[in-house]
Amino acid sequence: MENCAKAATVHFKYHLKYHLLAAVLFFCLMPFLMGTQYLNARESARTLEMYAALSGILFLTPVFLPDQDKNIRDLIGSKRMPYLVIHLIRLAENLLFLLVFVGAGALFLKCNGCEFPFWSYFAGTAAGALFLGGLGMFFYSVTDNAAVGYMVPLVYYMINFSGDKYVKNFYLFSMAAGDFGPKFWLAGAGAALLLGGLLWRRIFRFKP
Amino acid sequence: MPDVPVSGTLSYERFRELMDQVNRLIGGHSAYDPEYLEHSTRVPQTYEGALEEYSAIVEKDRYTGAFARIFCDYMGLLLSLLPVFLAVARILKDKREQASQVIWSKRASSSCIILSRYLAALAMTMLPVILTAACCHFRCASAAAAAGIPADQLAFVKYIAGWLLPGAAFTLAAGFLISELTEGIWAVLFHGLFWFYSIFQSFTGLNGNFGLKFVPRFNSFGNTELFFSQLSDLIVNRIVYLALAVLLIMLCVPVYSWKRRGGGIHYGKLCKSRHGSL
Repeated sequence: MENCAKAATVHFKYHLKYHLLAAVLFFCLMPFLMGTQYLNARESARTLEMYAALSGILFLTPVFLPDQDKNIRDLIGSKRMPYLVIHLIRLAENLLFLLVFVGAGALFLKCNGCEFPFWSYFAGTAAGALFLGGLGMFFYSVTDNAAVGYMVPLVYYMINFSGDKYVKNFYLFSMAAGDFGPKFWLAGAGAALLLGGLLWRRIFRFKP
Repeated sequence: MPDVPVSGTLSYERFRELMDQVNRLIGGHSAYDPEYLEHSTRVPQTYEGALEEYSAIVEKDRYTGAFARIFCDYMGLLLSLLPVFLAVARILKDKREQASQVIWSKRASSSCIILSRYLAALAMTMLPVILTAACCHFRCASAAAAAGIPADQLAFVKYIAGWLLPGAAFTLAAGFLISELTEGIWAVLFHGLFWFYSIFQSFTGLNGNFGLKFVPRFNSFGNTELFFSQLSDLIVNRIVYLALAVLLIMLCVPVYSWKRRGGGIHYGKLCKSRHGSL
């Protein structure tokens, strides 16, 4: 347990803080890029789905980023603590901060006179963020290439601009139309992608 | 919705002022934004108007030109972001394989290394665009021939070279420079935010109003006269971004040379040597 806490501290100190900084910058720019005042439910959903959900890519895709350095990879591989546990610690930390930032974004809208059901919209946005981040993490794990990991969720995001014709139940912007059904699919798929990314890394990349 | 009659004495300027007030009252970025109103206003089409538009597509665009515009409108959305990943992937690969030390020791100059990599990446970025455009052109030209319209065989070439290439060149150059400076994935964040801003800025005018927008939009098939009335703005816009692309890649060369001589950014500080600080 003590080692887990130390691993989490080291991850925060040397890696996560840069992504936290990026997320702070990202959310600070939200009022300038999107409407954030006196929005109705539909417009609030639009802001949260089209902007806040992108924070999933910022937090979840770089879970394997510290492993780029082979020296770090080899050093951690030589320790008793399994690599999967290290990845789970990083993922849990990143997920926690993702939920905090998405919640803060939704709260910011609420405090600016926007009218929407807070918890439903928070959950819906978190589901979208989880899916986008899960896509990024999974493809990073499979290709071992950070650029691909960031590119795939952004391309998927762009595909959603053309509507739900091709993506069906995995449509990212359904909340603006009052439909929460796809959010369950997105949350489930996101969790599956995160799990798949972790297992792929364990099975194919770090054989003992 | 109640039908509110407009006062006969209300001038367009006063109307814009009132709409701007409403927009600010409700927090901005709304449908009352005068710029959004200006470019979202529609009037019903008449038969004569439709015939004029058809004639313009046949005579001025020669059919393929109209398709090339729509193609560039959609492709521009992708090409304004995706090339940055090529730049980031290159720097990460160099960092992982620790190839920099080997490359820096070679006789090739920094400008040779950077420009050859940049031009290779730009060529590979445009290659799938050209192949996709060729497929589109083939279908459009066949349809035009079947309708007895002499198609413009160079339409896609002109529009890709003039509209898409400067955007892709700028994106790649920005990616190269930021990646070279940060040796990480920060180019994705900075350029991603710029792209996001450009995309949402472009929603205020989906049929022209090019200005200095990074992602110029013209999301309608036809509307030939409107496009050609704004063509000079588009040309200026693209020349500016091409010039910026050249400037950024030229800046990348001295940055690379500085790193080769031992410089770097160490814990956020500019360093003269990789193992010390100024």
